[in-house]
Amino acid sequence: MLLTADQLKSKLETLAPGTRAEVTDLTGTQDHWQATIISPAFEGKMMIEQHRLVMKLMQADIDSGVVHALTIKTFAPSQLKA
Amino acid sequence: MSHPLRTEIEKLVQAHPVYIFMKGTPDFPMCGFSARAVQVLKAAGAGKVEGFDVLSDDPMWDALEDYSQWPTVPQIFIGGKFVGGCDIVSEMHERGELQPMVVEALKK
Repeated sequence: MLLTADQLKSKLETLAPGTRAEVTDLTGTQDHWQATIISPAFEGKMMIEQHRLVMKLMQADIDSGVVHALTIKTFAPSQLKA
Repeated sequence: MSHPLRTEIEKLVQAHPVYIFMKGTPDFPMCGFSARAVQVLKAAGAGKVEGFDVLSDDPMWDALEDYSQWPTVPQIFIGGKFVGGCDIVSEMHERGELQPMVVEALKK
């Protein structure tokens, strides 16, 4: 079962309380996604660590092929206050 | 148990302020992502980028994935630290975060 945009968004937002995600279906096939994620969990972390957190959350869906590709942009809330 | 080639990886990333494990070489990349990563590093002031061609050495490719716990190539190390792949260094460059890191690493 592929994920809908709302399901993917909800899943990403389980990362930590206060996480906000926006998702885009890049191909219209519900398996190539782009997501922008803003999370307090990213505060003080290098981008690689931020990406690792998201990929860990999504690993099962990536391994099963439900999500074929996921491109992410991550922000800590403080990075958006500039 | 750590990978037997772990120390080889460590030596390479410690010996170079900016180092890339990639498909092909910095002068002759064999993959678009590797090529773009080299370009981004140069744009961030890395000068002549040194790299390792994983296509030429399967055991080292395995060792790299074990070392970084990251599934894809290219992989970029700055100041001996794993920074990310093509998407991450590109995004960091766009946000102006890559150049200061490169400058800092080149000082040492």
